[in-house]
Amino acid sequence: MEEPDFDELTWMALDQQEMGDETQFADELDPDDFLDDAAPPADDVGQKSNHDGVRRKRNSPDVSLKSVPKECSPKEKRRRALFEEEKFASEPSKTSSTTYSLPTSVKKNEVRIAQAEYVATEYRYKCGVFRMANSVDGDYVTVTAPSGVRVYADRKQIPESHTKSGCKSYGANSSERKGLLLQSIESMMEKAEHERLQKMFSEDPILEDSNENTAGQRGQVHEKLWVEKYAPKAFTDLLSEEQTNREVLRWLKQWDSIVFGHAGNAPTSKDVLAALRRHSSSSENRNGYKDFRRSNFGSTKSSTGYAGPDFRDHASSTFSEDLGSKASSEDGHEKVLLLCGPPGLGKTTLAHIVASHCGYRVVEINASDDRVATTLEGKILDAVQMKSVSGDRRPNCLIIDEIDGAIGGGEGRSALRHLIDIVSRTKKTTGSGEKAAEDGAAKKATKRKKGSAETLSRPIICICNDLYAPALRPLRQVARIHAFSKPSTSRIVSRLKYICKEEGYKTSVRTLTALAERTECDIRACLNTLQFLKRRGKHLTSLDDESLRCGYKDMTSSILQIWTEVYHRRNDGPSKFLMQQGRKEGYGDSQELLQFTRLYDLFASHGDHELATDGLHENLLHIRYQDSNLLKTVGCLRSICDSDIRSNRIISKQQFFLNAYQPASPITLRHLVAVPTRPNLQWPKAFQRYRTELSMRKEMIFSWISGMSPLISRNITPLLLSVEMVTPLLAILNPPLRPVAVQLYTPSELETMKQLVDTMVQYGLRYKEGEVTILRTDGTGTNSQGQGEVQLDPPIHNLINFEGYKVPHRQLSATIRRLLGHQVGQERIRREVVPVVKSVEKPVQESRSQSRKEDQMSKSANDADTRCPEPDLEKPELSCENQTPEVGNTSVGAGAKSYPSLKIKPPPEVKTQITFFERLRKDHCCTSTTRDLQMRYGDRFLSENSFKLNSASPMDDCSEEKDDKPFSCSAAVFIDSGRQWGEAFNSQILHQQRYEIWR
Amino acid sequence: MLWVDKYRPHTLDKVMVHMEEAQHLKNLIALGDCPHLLFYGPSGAGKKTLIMALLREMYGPGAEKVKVENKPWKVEAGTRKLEIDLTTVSSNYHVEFSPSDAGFQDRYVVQEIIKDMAKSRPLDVAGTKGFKVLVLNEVDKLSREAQHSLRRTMEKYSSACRLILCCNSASKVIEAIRSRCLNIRISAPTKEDIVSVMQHVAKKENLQLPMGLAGRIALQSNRNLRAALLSFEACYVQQYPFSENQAVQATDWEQYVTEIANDIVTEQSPKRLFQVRGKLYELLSNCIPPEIILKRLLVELMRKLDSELKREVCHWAAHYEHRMQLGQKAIFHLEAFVAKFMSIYKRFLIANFG
Repeated sequence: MEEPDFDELTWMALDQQEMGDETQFADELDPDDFLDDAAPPADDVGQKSNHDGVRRKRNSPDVSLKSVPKECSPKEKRRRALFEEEKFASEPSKTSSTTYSLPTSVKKNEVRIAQAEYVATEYRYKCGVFRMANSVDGDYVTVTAPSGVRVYADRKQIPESHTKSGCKSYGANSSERKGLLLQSIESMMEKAEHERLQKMFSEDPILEDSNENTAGQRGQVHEKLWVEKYAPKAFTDLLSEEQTNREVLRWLKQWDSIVFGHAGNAPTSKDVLAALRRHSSSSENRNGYKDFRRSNFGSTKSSTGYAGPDFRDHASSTFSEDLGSKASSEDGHEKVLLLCGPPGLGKTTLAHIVASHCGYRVVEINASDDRVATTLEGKILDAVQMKSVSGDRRPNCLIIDEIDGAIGGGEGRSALRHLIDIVSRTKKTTGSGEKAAEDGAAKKATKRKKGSAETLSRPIICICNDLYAPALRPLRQVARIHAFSKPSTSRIVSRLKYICKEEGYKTSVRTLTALAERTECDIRACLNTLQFLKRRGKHLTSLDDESLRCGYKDMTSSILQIWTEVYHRRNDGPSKFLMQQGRKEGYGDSQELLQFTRLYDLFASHGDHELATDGLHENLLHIRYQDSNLLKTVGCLRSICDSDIRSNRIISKQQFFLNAYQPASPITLRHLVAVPTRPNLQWPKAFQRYRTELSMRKEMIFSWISGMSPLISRNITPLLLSVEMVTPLLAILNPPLRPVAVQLYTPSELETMKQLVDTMVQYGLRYKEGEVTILRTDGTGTNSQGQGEVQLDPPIHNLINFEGYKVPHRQLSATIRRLLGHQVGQERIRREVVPVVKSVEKPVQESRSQSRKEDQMSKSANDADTRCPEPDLEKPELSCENQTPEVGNTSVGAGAKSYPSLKIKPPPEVKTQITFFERLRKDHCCTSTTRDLQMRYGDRFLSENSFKLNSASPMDDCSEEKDDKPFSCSAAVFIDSGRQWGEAFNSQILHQQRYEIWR
Repeated sequence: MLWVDKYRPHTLDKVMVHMEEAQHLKNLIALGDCPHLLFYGPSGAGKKTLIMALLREMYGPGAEKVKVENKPWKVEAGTRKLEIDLTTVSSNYHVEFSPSDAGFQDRYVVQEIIKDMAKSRPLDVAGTKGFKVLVLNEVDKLSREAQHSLRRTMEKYSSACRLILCCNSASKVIEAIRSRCLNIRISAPTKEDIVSVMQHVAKKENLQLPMGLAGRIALQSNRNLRAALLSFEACYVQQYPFSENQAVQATDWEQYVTEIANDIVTEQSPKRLFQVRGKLYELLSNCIPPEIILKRLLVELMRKLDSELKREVCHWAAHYEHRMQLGQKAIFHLEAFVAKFMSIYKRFLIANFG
């Protein structure tokens, strides 16, 4: 069955719009002829609805719908009725056009009538359509389908009574309805005729007076706003840019496969898409798209769950899976459409029209609704997954209007996040859906359910005024964005003219142009103004009319516009109209003054002077203006400074009246440096960057000070550090030390080293592996092979790293820095411990503490390979000791002071009682995989001993350990040995040979 | 430990500069009581040293056993509840902190925290003094509101506590507070003072310090004792034994400012100005205050200037610094000064050399 579905309608609508008067079919059909017979084949009427011939012929009384097929078989009738119902449900665009109640314009009316007629007659002729001319008996009409197929329709007459009964059969659920119309076609015709007469009267100058009366009366009777009255009702009526309209339409049509799932009429939709592509100028990957379509239909049979309620009860209607493939195959298809543009350009109208055109029920959420995250989520889910039970059975199309308005602040942001969640969630689940399809039929059912709960299967259109509202940032990334631009003035004016004519309001094109110019092509504002003026009973015929004043639009322009305005001097002055206006308002002819006023208004209305000043400052030096002596630059900067001083005053003293003077700065700048070429402006970032860096460094300095010993920090302020102290401190911290092992240092060098460690500890400084940032305490003593650079922590050397500045300080070599790092770490621990060492040694505890100590040693040895921070391991043990009352006095316990927070922790059980040497021995038995590990251990051990020999240290704990004698151990001893360890460890290379011998 | 800290005098008797002031202070507290004090003077003059020595004089060595505390204070300001982090250094007898650390919330620090501290009498009855001491640093950075809130506190709780205020510039402290305190001006030490202190340190450290080097270090330090000692130690670390003509390094930011000054003098154009702007940002973001940058920049530029321009440039520097204080964003004003200088300099160059 040849079903002209709404895709064709869409196509027609598009064509109508584009080639309104194109008479593609005129060759085949004499318009007069077929209109006389009033039996136009569906497509032709659609095409020619606003053809002149049609309009003319509408007047003739013999227009009739009486010519309908003579007879229909009952079966045929039933089929038709069914079809008609389905049609009714599925083609809301048609429905809306037929149920259109109040024909307001003759022209429109005619279009409506033609469409209505088309609907009424279309199917009757369907049954009499033949492929071959000779198969028709009697009179016939040739029809060329959009696909190029020519068919022949026979013309038959059926009695009127028959028609009515036929109508009844499919209008059964709404008994008043005649066919698809609310009113009978006759009454509509009458009305049209009446209006036509009215119009003729109104055009007649003689009858003007009386007409005015009637018009006035009418105005009182219908209290309808013009804005609503003349709102576009169909796609073709839209005033916004056609390009945008089509793109939006096209985007929405892409949802068809998901929402409607045209399994049956693929060729049609293909045609439609082809037609759309023909019209759209966007260069998309068409092949990819076609491929998608094919694969789409190919996979119909293995359809997975369909998210929303199945509105047509198609068995195979869902494509949530395909949506995924679509998203991947064709990148251009975003799930959310974001329309943006200044108010009054018809964004909302476009969204509504297009949605209903494509057969959706519009569900709107606007700023007046509660848009808290949970509410919004519920609403969105309702809209995309439910359908209304009664009445309108079309699928939903969610329009979130004014999304930038109420969405702001924490609530709005979370609401928006939910929205994006819903959108992006789909992408994820489609992936899993595909996977499920591969998994096999068994799992499919369950997966489907899950998918259906989450998949977004209805289009969402968001509308905003300010695309760059910060709240919308995440949405921008996922949405397809269509920016609205101003429609051309002429377009607006022609519509205004038409409306004025309709309303019987006399104006001139010039006035209307001026009005449109003033309102920045905001047609809503224009119409409201006009209606208001009309109600005041004034005629808007000349520019001198005072009343035009109210047409001004209070507009804020974007900040970028303002910067451009300052730096870019366009050659065209203000428009003639504005000049005249200026003259009238007492500015005289002075262009300067006029310009000044305009700029003042512009800047004052924007309001964010600080941002404006920042931007001006940032871009000033990139403007190529003539300035040999830098006088202009000085002037500009002075003016910027003035602005800064004012704004400081405004903020600190709350003298808001000073805001009135703020626009003076940009005006001065413009006066000084505006250039005719359009400058390349940039968003000001430098100041923000400076601010964040400054606060970061300040933070660093504060934390540094808090880490210092109080005896020093009390004498220091942050400012002093950065200004006076960093430089000498860095010089002091980098003494000329040879990068050799400690053992080779001269006594004076050792003294220097000691001093250095002392200073670093006092000043809360340490060296840290560049990469390991997690270590709060230094990972000293154990970091064997340090990757990355060893840096000061806190990184005070960054304080003098000015860009383009060569730091003159000597830098210690990495080895020494690492060595210092170890030593500082040990020294720190020692300082925290030593003062409390009273060496209360209880013989009972000795063995215990010893074993613990050994345990620690083995652990710290362990650290060598795991690279764990040694103190981290020590901490629990220290606190453990502290909690045990017997050992509470031992020096190690005192160490817990440095980790007060750990005292609360329950003492972890130290189970491993392996001594260092046991560990060593065990290691020796290990396989070769741990060979280098052992080497390190052994190495260290040896070097430790040898170090002792070298430094003639009195401490002999290692030998004691060897003998396994109980010995008096204080933490200080341990730490000391640990420190030596660190040193010794670093000299391991030196002792490599000895190691060999030892082995 | 750095020499600066190592050789800091701990008692009033041992101070090497401002000996007269120290003596006065000693006499002042000899009777067991003292008024509120306001120490003011340039950085590195010895204010803090004197204050510490004074505290020790008052309370004995116990005043030097200090600990650092960083705790959040809960403050109820009208309907709001604020939490202010404040780091204090305290001993049993005194508390010292910088109320201006709290930034714009400094008013609450003064109104609530200081009042809170001042209210409670010291627990230590055995202590000789019936009052405790609050040392407030950087009072000149307090906002005006905070300073006004301080007035009443100073009077009301004077029985239990004494305030010692410390700041760089007394002119930024409101009159009312100044009149409630005994103002003690600590002037920057003279060059000779600095040299003698350095000699003292050198003697203790067993070093041979040539007079020429000492003189240059003192000169470089701009009469800042701390800076002098620090750079003295830096010199020692970098090269010892000293030589008479050893280089004394200026601080890094000063050298950077010198670079900027060179940039400015070599070319005057918006393009160069843009580069200078970048460098100024760089300095500012490294915590160098704009006033100091401007001052230093002026000094550097003066070195390269013809004498007939000096007066004019000075005038404009003062002009722009004044405006900087009035304004918010220092970079605008710094840049404006640079632009003005460029303009003047270029005009001069064209007039003289064509």
